[in-house]
This record gives sequence, structure tokens and C-alpha cells, in this order.
Amino acid sequence: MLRVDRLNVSYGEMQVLWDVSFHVEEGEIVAIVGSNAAGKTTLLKSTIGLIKPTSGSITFLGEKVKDTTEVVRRGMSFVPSDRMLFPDFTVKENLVAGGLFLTKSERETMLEKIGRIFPVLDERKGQLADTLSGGERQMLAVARGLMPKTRLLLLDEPTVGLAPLVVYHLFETLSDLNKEEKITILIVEQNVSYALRFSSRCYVLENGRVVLEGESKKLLNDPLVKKAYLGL
Amino acid sequence: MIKTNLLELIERSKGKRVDIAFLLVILLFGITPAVTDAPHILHVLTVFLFFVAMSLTWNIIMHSGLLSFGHAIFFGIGAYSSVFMVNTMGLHPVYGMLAGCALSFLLALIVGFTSIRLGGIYFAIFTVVLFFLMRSMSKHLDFIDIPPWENVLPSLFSPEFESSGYFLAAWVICAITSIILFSIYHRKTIYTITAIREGELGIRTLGVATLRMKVMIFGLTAVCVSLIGSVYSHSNIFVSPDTGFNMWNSIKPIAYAFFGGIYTFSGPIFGCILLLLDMLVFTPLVPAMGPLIYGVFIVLIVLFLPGGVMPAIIKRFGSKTTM
Repeated sequence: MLRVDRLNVSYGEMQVLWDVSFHVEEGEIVAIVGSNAAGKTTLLKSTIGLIKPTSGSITFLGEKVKDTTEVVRRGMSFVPSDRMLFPDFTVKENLVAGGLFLTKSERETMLEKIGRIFPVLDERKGQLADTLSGGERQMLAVARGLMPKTRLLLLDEPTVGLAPLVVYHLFETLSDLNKEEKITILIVEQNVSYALRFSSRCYVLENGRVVLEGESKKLLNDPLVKKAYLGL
Repeated sequence: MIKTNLLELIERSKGKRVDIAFLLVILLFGITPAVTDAPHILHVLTVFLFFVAMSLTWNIIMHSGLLSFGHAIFFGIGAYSSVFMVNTMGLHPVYGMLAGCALSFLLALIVGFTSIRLGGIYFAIFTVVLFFLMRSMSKHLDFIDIPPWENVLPSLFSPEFESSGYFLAAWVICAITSIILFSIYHRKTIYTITAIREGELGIRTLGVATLRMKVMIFGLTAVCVSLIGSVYSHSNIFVSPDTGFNMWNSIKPIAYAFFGGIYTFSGPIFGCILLLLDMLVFTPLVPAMGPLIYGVFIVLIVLFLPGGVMPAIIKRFGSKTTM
């Protein structure tokens, strides 16, 4: 579904990603873990076209990723770490903003679906996004990311600032989305333990390079790997 | 299931009803020549309608997050395009209007794609600098037979229909602009424009080509302002650097929008009441004090009603007109 080959990304003179390659198959949950400044967010932003790589290729559903506008319309969605909700919009207006490319009936259908998946958002639909709790904002950010009939959801550190119980519920919801709604998920996380328990495969990023990859369960059970790369 | 709450609909509809009322008032202005043919009244209302259109168009640019002083540029391009096409080339005035619109749109695209990405205050400064550049250039157009002193443009209408003719021209431009902007403010387009202002990176992640959208807004408003510049210049007869490229044509729409309420449809229209007050009350009573009085009003509004008059009224008696 998604293939990234030998991606190199620089900010001016400073190279951040070095020959990064990974892939995500349809229906998978793939995690990318790593310490701060490993390049995880840059990798996600490049994947969705927000940052232009210096070299390498990114293909989604068989076609090269040209820019954010076209890849979102093809079914890739990005939920940034700071959520980037519109604070003066209500919950419903934030969701509508996520479905701008849909027809009116498609948008209504998606809103109903989101309401079933996230009942708490249905209760708060008239509330300003700025007045939601942290967990509710994260739910809203994920829900908004699903609005444009998403097939691949990119999540950048969705658990930042959330209480453990909220993190648990969030991962449960994402797991349900993957199983029931067939949403493929690529998640960047610093919460390594949850990321590995929740995903099927994992890549470990260090100083802009992929240093380790494999099945998440195997990585989680390997004590050397856990200690050297995962800090567990 | 996320359903539209009935109470929420009623509250929101109060704001929409205010906008509908203002739109109807603008449309009803069309019957004015049937009510009066007094040249002074028609002239005041002509200028009023021109500035309503200019204030509305400036407001939608601001709504997308761009502070622009570019209206005076495109007004001047419209004026000087008319001078060139009519006086130098000997063509019908409509060619001057079309040329002005085309040139303004092209310049807006070039300026937009190069400077809008700078964002924030830099774009505002760029429009100010470009204004002074254009104004300076307007004094050196001898090579296309446009002298630096006053150029005389023929009237678009015969003497007996002049006042009502220009009034109706202003009304048509203002009515079309108002209808288009009313529909923007009450469709999902306004979500996009507001989101660009509130969180551009966020709306980009949702697939909106934000730069392209901002440039198109800038370009299309430039067309409207250029057309006003052309028509107004014919009504004013004389075109010079002072009348064609006049910074007041940027400042006044901004002042009216702030007074009435930016980011709303009805605010800029309401704000143009300041113009009526100036032309009908302040200037007759205390000539040359107009700028001072504008300044006092704007300072008072910024201090006590920073969102403008209309949002305060709607908040007091209803709900928000728009985002």
C-alpha cells in the first residue's frame, strides 16, 4: 500500500533522514519508534508530502506521492502530534473541515459513522474544540483524520500528554478501526511498549536511519533489542 | 449519530438572518434612481456602494489570514488601464475595464505566489512597497502617452443619465460582489478560509492547497477592485497619481471593515456607514477633519469593541454570524 524507498530529507544544509526505506501493507498496523530527534515526524511529514525529500521515492497505492492535496484525496491522512485542531470551530465543524472534498451526502454518512465510532464526540458536537479535554481532542484529531474516507492513517505520537487510561482507550479504538473499518495505520510513537503491543511490525529509527525492523512481538521479546534500542 | 441540534440551528440562523437582511438592503438599493434623481444623493450612494464592495473584498482577504494594503494598487491599475485604452489607444471604455481586470489579476497572481508564502507582516509590507512603486511609476508613463499630470477620461454616460448611470454601475458591482461573498460566508468554503487563517498547516494536512486558495482570493478580489477603479475614474473624470494611486483606497476599506466587524459578512457593510456619516455629516460640518474623525472612531472601536460593532450586536441579541 505504501512504499518508501531510500528517502533522504534535509532542512537546508542539515540532513535529517538517510536512505530510509520501509513499507506498509494494507490492513497492517506498523509502528515507527525512536528517541527524540530521530527523524520520525520528518518521516511522516515527507510521506504525506508536507516536506519535499531531497531524494528517494514514496508511492501510495501504486502511484508516486506528488503533494499533500492529491495524496489526501487518494486516501492518506495525517494526524499531527499537536493535533492542529481549529480552536474556534466546534467539534462538528472540525470534522466537516476534515471532509472538505466529500460530497454533502458522503460527508453526512461519514459524520454518522464517526458518531458511532466516537460517541463522546457526538455528545460534544456543538462544543468548541478548545474546550475539550486532552483525550477528547486526540479523539477529535483522529476522527477528523478519518473523515476523507481514509485508507491509510498516519499518526504522529498520538499519546503525547495523555493519561495512561486515555492512552489505553485510544489504542483500543485504533485497533477497532483497523479490524472493523479496515483502516491501515502507520504510527510514530515514543510510548514503545504500547506501540509494539499494538502493531504487527515495527521500524526503529535512530539519527535518521532505520537501525532495526521486524515483527513487533519478536522485538518486544528480545531482551538485547529491548535494552539497546527500545529502552525497555 | 451526529445530528444537527435544532437549538444550534436556530441560534446560527439568527446570524444568517442578519446577513440576509444586509444583503437585501444592498439589493434594494437598486430602486434608488426610481425614488430620487438628486445628483448629490446618487453620488454619495455611488461612493458608498463602491466602498462596500471594496470593504467586503478586503475582508475576505483578511479572513484568509492576509493583511493586505493592495486595494489601492489594483484601484490604480484599473484607473490607468482606462486612461491607456481610452486616451492612448482610442478604444471603448469597456476595453479599459477589461484590461485593468486582466492586468490586476495577473499582478495579483505574481505578487501572490511570490509574497504570500512569506506570510504575516511581510506580505503587508510588500503590498505597501508595491503601492509606492506603482504610484511612482504612474508619474513616468510618457512613453505610452500618459502624462504625469491629470488625465481626462470621458464619462461613460450621457449628461442626463450620468448620476443614475454611475449609481447603477456601482450598484451592479456591489450587488454581484455581495451575492458572491454572502454565498461564500454561508457555505462550507468559509470553513476552509477560516481554517487557513486559524491553522494553515492543519488544513494543509487535510489536503487543502492553501497557497493556491489564498492567491485565488487575492486575484479575484483584485479584479473587483480594478473594475471599481476604472468605473470610478470615469465618474471622477480626472486621473492623476493622487487620485489613481491613493493609499486611502486601501485604508478606508480596512477602517470600515474593522469598525463594522472583520471576519463577518455584515460587518464591512455596516462599517461603511462611517463613510455615509463622513460625506453627509462630518465633511459638511468640519471640512478637512475627516481623517481625524476616522481615526477617533477606529481607536474607540479597537479599545472598546475590538471585534467590531456587528459581532457585538449579534452577540448581544443573537449568535455569531460566521466564524
